Amino acid sequence: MTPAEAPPPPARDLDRYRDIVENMESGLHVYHLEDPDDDRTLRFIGGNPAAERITGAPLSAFIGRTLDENFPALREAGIPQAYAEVARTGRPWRTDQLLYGDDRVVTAAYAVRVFPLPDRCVGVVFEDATERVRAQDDLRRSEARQRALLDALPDTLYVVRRDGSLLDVRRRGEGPASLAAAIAPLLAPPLDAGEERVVERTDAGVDFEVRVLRTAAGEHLAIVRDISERKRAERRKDEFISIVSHELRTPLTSIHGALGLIDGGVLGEAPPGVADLVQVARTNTDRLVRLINDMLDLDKMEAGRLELVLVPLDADALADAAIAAMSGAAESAGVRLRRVTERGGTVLGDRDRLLQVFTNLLSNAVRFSPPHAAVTITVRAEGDRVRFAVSDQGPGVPPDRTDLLFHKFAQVGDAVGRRKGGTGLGLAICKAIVVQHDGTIALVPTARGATFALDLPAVGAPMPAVDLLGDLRAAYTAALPLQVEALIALLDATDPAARNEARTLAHRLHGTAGTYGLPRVSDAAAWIERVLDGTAPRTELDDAVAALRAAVLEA
Amino acid sequence: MVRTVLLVDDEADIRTIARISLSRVGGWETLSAENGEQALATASASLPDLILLDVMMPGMDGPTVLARLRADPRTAHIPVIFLTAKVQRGDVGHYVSLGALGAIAKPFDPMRLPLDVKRLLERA
Repeated sequence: MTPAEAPPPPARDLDRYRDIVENMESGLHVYHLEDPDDDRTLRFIGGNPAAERITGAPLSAFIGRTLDENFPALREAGIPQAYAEVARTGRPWRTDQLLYGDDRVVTAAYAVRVFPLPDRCVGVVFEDATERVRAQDDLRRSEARQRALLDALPDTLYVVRRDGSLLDVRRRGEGPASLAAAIAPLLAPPLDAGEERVVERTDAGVDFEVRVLRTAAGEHLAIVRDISERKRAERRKDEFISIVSHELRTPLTSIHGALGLIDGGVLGEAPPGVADLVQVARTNTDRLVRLINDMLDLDKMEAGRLELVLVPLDADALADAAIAAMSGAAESAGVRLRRVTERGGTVLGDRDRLLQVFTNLLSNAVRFSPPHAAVTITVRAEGDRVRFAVSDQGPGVPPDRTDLLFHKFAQVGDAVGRRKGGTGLGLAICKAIVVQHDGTIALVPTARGATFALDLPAVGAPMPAVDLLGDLRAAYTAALPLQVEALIALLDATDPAARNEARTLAHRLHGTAGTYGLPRVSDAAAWIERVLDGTAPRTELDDAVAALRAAVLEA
Repeated sequence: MVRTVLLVDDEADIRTIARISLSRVGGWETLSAENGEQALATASASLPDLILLDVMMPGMDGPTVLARLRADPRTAHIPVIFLTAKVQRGDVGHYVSLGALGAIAKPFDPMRLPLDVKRLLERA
């Protein structure tokens, strides 16, 4: 304690505890309220070395001055008034004193306890709380930021328990009236962490999308969004597509039909030049019809309105049917179609839709094949899938086109693709169909030509072998640390019953660990058992326990 | 044995093409109507051997025309095949359940139309 001149009585009192005061970690300032009715007369009479360290100023800078002179900013926060109150009433007080910089960022903070001393003096014990307060401040700011973000969302948010009861709500507009009914079915079976479930509901003419996510243990976040606008747009698009399909198809039907009749020679033989031009017109209307059909198909698939009739299909028969359907086109292109079966199988699929996929792939293969080349469908059953590989001997797919291959209107070498008469939608349709079959379709890298691999779920595939012992062992291993801790706790006990129990537990562990293929755990348990039996020295107990812990960690 | 076919479609161009196809390729006599009322009148007056009936028409649609034909004892026996731009799985079954022989999709290939018609007739 650095004494001021003519110290008042409390300073002398504190002298008795000089060692404590000098060595304490907290800072200490002592003020004397000279005039009990005037809080501006709190005069500094002493402090300790920790106070110098925390404030960064020597005590001599404060000595003899009033609190207002030392820290003018404190009056605004009501601090001198509070100190005076402690001196007058003798009731201690605590607070956090914060010093702010620009933008209201906390630059320094002190946790302050003020306690009364005799003769209207107060002791002010303070600690640097800057880091704690800053962390709290950061947390508050981050929460405010998140709240602002949430407020900017157009959704209603609910925090719900597993049983559907509400914990918290942030409402935007009107939610569905029967919220519980909407959310409850989404909560069973229990969601995995990160899993998301979505359902759409219509309540009183408003369409809602309810999305449920698991956030913390037992807590779920339900996000309810008004999707009426999106639904309206979807309906408008559907209407548009249906109108377009009808309005485009009707005149095309006439043009296509008229050209077909002329080309078919129904009205007599056309002069050679005319016949050629009619042929051109016909090929192009064929393409337009295909394009419109493809667009309508794809739209249906993307909207998830494609209904599949899944039946078991023999893989070879399916490939043969596809080859038969394409044989005419292949013949006129001088391309040979063949099937090679490495291992036959049965797939679960919609025959018409899968034939559509195959004819698409075969028609691409034929179009890009040189004359006299072969296009092969290779059938190979592998586990729970059957793979159909459609390979050709054409120019292959340029590496820079492979990424976009399954996108709409992404043709291999655009000019070539169009000259070859494709619509640019074929592979996108194939993919949509295959995906809906729970299958995959991909371009397989090959040295020559192009190979598309189509994997479909097989029927009657052997179930994956159940590793019963493995499962039991995993469960046993998971429970092992608990057993070992129980054993160690029993070893520390002194009463004979507990020691007896410890022996039983060690014995059981010795046996079961062996059974589950954990020899080191078993050996260590046997060692403890020997110590408890007295066949090994007591002094080995610590080593035996350490060996057991190590063995469990390894398991 | 089919000799006369009544063709009902609101599109004049389609009627022209189908008429040429049915007469030149199929070798049948053809009659045509551009709406439901005309179709019913022509059917009961001329008693064709077969009716090709468009599904979507302004005014009376195809299924309604079919129901009226079936309700009239003079026309109840005449086989009907629908012509439609929308043939989807399930649709054909629906049309058959209404009493049609089947459905042929538009756009049809006029060189094949008579063949498709004959196939449906043979199956019946």
